[in-house]
Amino acid sequence: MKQGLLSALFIARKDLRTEFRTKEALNASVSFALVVLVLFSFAFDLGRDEFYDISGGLLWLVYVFAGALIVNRSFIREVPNDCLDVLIASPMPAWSLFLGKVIASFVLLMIVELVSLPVYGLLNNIHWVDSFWPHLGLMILATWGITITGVAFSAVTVNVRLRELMLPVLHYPMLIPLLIGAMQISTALLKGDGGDLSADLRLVVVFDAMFSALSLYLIEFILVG
Amino acid sequence: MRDKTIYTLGISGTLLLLYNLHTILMVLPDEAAQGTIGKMLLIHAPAAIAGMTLYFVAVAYSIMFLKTKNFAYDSAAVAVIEVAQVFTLINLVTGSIWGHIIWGIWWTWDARLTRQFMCFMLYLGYLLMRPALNEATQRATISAFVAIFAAADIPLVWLAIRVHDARTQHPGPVLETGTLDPAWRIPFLISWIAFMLIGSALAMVRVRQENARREIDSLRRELHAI
Amino acid sequence: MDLNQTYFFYGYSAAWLIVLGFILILIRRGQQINSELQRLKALVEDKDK
Repeated sequence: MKQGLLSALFIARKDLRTEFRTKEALNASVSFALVVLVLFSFAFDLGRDEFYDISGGLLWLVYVFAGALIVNRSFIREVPNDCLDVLIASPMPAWSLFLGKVIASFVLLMIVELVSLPVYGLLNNIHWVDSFWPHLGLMILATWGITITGVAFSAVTVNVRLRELMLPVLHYPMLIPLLIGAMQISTALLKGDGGDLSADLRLVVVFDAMFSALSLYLIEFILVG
Repeated sequence: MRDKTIYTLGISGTLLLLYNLHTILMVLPDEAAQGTIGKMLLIHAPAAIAGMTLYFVAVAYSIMFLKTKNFAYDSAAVAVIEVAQVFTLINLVTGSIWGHIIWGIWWTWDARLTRQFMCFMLYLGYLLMRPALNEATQRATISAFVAIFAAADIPLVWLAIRVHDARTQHPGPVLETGTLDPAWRIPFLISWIAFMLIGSALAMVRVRQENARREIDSLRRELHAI
Repeated sequence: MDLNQTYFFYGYSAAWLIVLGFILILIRRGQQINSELQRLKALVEDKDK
C-alpha cells in the first residue's frame, strides 16, 4: 500500500516534470480557457447582477473545457515509444500508475483554474477575492472529480480509434451531477449569499468518493486485463 | 431450439400487448382529469420501468464479464443495453407527446425527464464507443467498465436534480404513492410484462448477431494470418 | 376527434413504430452480418485448399 502510494507520487513527479519542460498541454489549456472566457463575454450581454446569477455555471464550463485538454494527454503521452507497455509491465500495481496520472493532471488543472479565475473576475467584473478560500476548497474537490473520471476515460480510450471524439462523448455526460453541484456552490459563493449548500457539497463529495473507489478498483482490469 | 424460444417470447409479448391495447381502448374509462391521453400512462411508465430493469441486468452482465472474462456476458450486456435504449426512447417520446397536451410543453428539465435523458445519453456513448474498438477482449473489458461507470452515475444525476427540484412537472410516482386505480394496475403490469417478453426476444436476436460479429472478427484474423 | 385523442393515438403509434424500427434495424444488420460471415467462410475454405 505504502509502496503503491510512493510509486504513484513518483509517476506524478515524472509527468509533471515532463510537462513543465515543454509546457505543451499547460499553455494550450490556459490559452484555450482564456479564449472561452472572452467568447463568453461576447455571448452574454447581461447586466452585472444578471451575470452573477450564471457566474458559477460559466466558470465551471471553462474549467471543464480546459480540463478536457489536460486529461486527454494523460495516457496518450505514453503511447509513443511504447512507454505505456513498459509502465504496465513494471512491478508497480496498476492503481498507483493511475493514481499518479490523476495527481499530475489534477495539479495541472488546478494551475489552469487558478490562472483563469482572476482573469474571469477581471473580464466580467466579478468579485472573487472575498470568497477565495472556500472557493479554493470547492475547486480542489470538484477538480479531483473531473480529473479522476477524465483520466479513467483517458486510460480507457487510449487504444480507441477517434479517441478525441470518444472522450468528451463519454466524459461530459458523466460529469453532470458533479458540475450541477459545483456550479450551484460557485454561484452562491461569488454572489456572496450563503444559503444552504450542504446538499450540493455532499453531492460533490459523494461523486468524488464513489468514482475514486470505482476507478481505482476497476483500472486493473482496463490496463492489465 | 433458440429460434423457438425467440418466437415464443416475441409472439406471446405481442399478443399480450394487443390484448392490453384492447383493454385500454375498449374497457377502461378515460382518465377523469386528463381525458383519453391519461391512458398514455399505461405505456409510458411501463416502458421506463422496463428500460431501467434492463439497464440493471446489463450492469450485472458487465460485472460478470469482468469477473469471468466470458464473452457470452459481453454479448448479453450490449444486447440488453440496446433494447433498454429502445424502451427509454419510447418512454421519452410518449412522455413528450403526453406533456405537449397536459403541460403544454414538449420538454422540461424536471427530475425524471432529465434522468431518463441522461440514461439515454450515457448508454448512447457506450453504443457509439463499441465499434471504435477493434480487439474483442479490449472492447468487452472497456465496455463493461463504461457500463458500470454509467450505472454508478445515474443515482447521482437523480440526486443532483432532486436537490434543485424547484421545477417538478410530474405528479408523485403512481406506484410509490399507491394512488393508481386498481382497475389500471393490471393493464399497467401486463404492459411491463409484455415489454420484458418482447425485450428478451429482441435481446436474444441481438446476442446472436454479436456472437456472429465476433466470429467474423476471428475469421478475418485467420485470413490475415494465412 | 379532439386534440387530446389525436395525440393519444400519436403516442401509441410512436411506441409501436419505435419497436418496429428497431426490429427493422436488427433484420438489416442480421442480413449484413450473415452475408459477411458466408463470404469470409468461403474465403477461408478457398485458402485452405
